[in-house]
Amino acid sequence: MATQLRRALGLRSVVSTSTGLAFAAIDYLAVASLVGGVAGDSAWLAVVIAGVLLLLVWGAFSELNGLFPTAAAIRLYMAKAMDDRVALTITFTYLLTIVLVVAADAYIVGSAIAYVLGGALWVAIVCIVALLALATLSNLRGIRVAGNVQDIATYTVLLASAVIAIMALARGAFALRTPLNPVDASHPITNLIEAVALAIFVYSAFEWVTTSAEEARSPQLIPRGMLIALGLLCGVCALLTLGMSHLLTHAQLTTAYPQLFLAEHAAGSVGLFVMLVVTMLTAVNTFNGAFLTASRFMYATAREGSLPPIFARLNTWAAPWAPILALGSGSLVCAIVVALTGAWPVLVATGAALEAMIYAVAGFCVWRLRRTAPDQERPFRMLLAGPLGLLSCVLFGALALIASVTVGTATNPAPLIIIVVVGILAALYVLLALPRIRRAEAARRAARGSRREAARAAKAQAQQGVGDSTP
Amino acid sequence: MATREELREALDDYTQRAQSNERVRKTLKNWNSVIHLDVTDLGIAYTMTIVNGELTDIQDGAVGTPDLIVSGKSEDLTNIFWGDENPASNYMQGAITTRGSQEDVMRLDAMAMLLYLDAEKK
Repeated sequence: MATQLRRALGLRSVVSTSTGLAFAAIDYLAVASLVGGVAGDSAWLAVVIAGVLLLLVWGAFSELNGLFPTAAAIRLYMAKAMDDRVALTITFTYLLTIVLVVAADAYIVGSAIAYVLGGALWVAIVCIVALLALATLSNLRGIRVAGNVQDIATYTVLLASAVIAIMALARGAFALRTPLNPVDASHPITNLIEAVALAIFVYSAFEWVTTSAEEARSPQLIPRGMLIALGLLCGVCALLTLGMSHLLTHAQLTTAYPQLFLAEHAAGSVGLFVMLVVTMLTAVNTFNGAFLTASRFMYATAREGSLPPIFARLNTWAAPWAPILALGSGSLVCAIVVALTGAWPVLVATGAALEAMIYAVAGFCVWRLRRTAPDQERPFRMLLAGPLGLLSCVLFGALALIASVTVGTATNPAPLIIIVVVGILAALYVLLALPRIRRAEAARRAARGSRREAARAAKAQAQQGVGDSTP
Repeated sequence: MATREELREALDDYTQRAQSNERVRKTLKNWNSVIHLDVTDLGIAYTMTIVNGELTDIQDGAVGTPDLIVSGKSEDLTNIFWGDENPASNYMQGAITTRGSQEDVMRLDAMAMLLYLDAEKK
């Protein structure tokens, strides 16, 4: 029997980690943005269809997690399935998602607080700066949200969101308008496809729990936990979509805090304050999970020699300060730009496109590794991995493309431009700067020599000395 | 493949360097951990005990309940503890595997990095 760890994650924590990482405040906005493009109250179908498609992603990540049960899994399976330079370019581009999600949460929570206080834009900006400063400082001090607190926060957020959505629907006597007909004369099928592409975003990051594989009590808990998380996300987001589509006006749906209006419909001013607290709780999970996952990944990547060494420096609280500052400042700039321009739908679309892109990559890796490493032990085997891996790659590649040119219900290439620019910058770094960093590190190591060899030589010399002095 | 004696020698050297390094103690001052080293090809284990950032000793065998388990081949582990190989590279390439919290993994790697950087200065 394998040795048990003093502290290990059980199923409850695996589910809460997976769900908590995915259920960010921006999910409320993502859900609201689905409503306009689909007929009647049927936008919830986009959430469910996306959830069903995500089963392919669940299968792919479960197999990859079984193959490489480590926080470095993304580096391992991508490097083994494709050229390392391509893998690194995709990985660095994908890191943008984390910046976007943190920025979005700061913006939404800041805007929600400003709305409740009756404040203007500057109040929201002050809140955003304060929130991100607090998150950055607490991460620099190495402060983590305890596992139990995270569990409580996640389940409270989910339960409160579901209850508020049901209460809001009950106020309207559950009298829904065409809840099963997403397509009509003014809402073509292409709108539904665009809605499904955006709905992927409400599940985004559920797979980040695979970075906790080394902490789980048993490796089987990760696939099981991800599946339960998908179910919870699907149920809660479908309820929220139904509530919002049925009760909110177009003007309310296009604000940065549609969830507050939904809660007000459900329970008046009490509901409003409850939802404000719930929105703030989502930020606790997002900031804790995103800062921790991304900063530790950047630290490990720098230690491996794929990012400049400054990203591997630790402060006196043993926190990698450069990645934390980079994430904090990147998110702050992004959040303030969004606050000034109100362009949060671009964030949703960019995030959805990047997530769909990484899901396509995961499908490709499963397919490729089945061909190149067929005999490697797989504790979890994706059903029909060959064809379904490829299908997943093609399907999510297409959805990534659709999401990258769809903002709200309009065609807009802004997300695609952002992703291409970041991708080009990442590729330039990988092709031009990285070889220099690696050469410098190799030269340093070569100049230093081997301590093991030196010790071996010293030992041999000492033995020789003893031998020479023996008569 | 390294021998048991070679690995023990590397561990003793590592312990000595870690204990005499002020920077390691300062950076990792709040870190307490029991780490099992599982040497897969030799079928042996060691236990590293860290109290307030100080590596107190490395015992033979798997002693107590670990916070972190590091598994790898004797050759890789020997080179890592001599400071000749980068543990993070080995980890990112899957040559060594871990079970336990990422914070413990990062701190253990940081200890190796600080010792490496200090040895480079001398």
